[in-house]
Amino acid sequence: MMGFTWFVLGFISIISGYFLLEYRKKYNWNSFVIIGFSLGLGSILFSIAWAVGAVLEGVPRSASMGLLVFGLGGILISSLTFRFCAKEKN
Amino acid sequence: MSSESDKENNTARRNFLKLGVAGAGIAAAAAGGVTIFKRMEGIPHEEFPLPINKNYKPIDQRNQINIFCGSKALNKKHPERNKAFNEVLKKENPNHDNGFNFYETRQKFMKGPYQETPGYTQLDRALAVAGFSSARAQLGGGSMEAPNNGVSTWRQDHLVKDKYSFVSPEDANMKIKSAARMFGALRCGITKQDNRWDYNPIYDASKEKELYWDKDFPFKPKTVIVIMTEMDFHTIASAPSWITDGTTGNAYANAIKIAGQISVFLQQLGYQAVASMNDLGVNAPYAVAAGLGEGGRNGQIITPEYGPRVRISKVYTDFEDVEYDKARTFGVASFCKNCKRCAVSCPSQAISHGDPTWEPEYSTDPDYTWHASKGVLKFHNDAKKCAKFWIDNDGSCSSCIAACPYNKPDFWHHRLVDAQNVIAPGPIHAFMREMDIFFGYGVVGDPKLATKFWKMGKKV
Repeated sequence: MMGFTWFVLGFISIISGYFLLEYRKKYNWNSFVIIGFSLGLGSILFSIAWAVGAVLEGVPRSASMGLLVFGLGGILISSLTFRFCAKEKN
Repeated sequence: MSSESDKENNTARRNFLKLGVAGAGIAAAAAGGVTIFKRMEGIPHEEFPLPINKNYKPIDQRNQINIFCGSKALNKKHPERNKAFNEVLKKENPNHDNGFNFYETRQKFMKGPYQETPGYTQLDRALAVAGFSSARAQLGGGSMEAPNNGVSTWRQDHLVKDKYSFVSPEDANMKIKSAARMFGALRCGITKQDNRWDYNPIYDASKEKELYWDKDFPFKPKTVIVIMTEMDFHTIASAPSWITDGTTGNAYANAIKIAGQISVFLQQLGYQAVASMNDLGVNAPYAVAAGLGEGGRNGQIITPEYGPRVRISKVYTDFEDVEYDKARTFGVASFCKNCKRCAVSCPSQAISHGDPTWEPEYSTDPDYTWHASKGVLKFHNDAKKCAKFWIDNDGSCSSCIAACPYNKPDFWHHRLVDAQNVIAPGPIHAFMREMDIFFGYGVVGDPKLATKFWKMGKKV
């Protein structure tokens, strides 16, 4: 199960990387936008991996806390990047 | 024309700088990663990593708490020990009837009535007794502390005349560990025999008899092979319920089985060997010396991957042409100083809340501190209170093992936290302890976890 999760997350990472580069060209995003979105997305993917691991080891509370701390953190970073960096460029 | 060329040069220079910065960043991250990885493997030490002063004396096994609890003769010989303990219990609880006796009260251990609470029913008692049955059978029906019994016999029945020559000491180390891995060891370390960690005299409580290394033991041991087996995470999580005895006993059974097999393996190579569970020597310092972990606040060995959720057996042998493993520190001692989660969770408050000391801080009365190994800078715990809780609980406890933040299943995200712990300073350790609680790990005394244990069968 964890192996399948790593495969899916790896696939999402590649697709996200592709779209980030595409949007960078299209909207002329600078390095701050790319770093912000990468950190945000990385944090969200990490939270998913943490949650799956925690469910598999039988500690569901750790899964929900992982989603809350890392997932919400990732969404926050992405939103701030969009609000303060990417939107201006768009 | 020249301004355009300048612009191009500037852009090229900027790109070159960017590449340089990125390269330096990657190199720094790689160097940091290697450093953390090395720290997680442990910092090797030439000497025993805990300070020991001149007051330290090898432990007389008659002063070991389980031996004292199992010996009628020793209780008769030392009534002052029971008296001093009863006085302290009376001070803590005015309703205490002064009737506690280490030997007599211990005879009722694991024989009390079944209860309604999850973790204390007939089902749970059955698991506990069954868990220990194999280890007891292997040790000739004796306790885990009994020497020269069953698999841990001192007879050399399998000894052959031809001595096998290993290619090199490194080769011997690897081959012994390969055998231990195949027999089921979680981890294995090899260290030099050390008089400081051996009981002297050894005491057989079942026969009420002292045994001496030079007079009774069949050979002069040179090397000690330390073997670790794992206890189940979900079973320990139900602490302090009776269920935990199931995995404790099972890990004992595996540990003594492997030690017995390794002793026969060595005898078949022409070297004398004796398997040992909790007899002959103290397991924790031998495991530290063999590089398998560090001593924790709860008095147990803390391994980096499994925390204290392990049981240790050992093999004494006269084979010495082997490479010894070095003691290693993984940052556990520093973490334990700041964490104190085991001390807070301990139902009998037997675990020290303070910093490491040379002698026990809980009392200076020699009639009360008779079991303490004075002269080692460590956390000194009141083993008598721990033993009393076992009797009150009618089963052993394991709460300090369950509460320890190092006690985790072997999953990738815990290794990530471990990596952070080896480089982080003290205040971060206290923060990580809070996070451990926040994320729901190390809960002790929750009957739901006992109920949950009995649903784990669907994964088999």
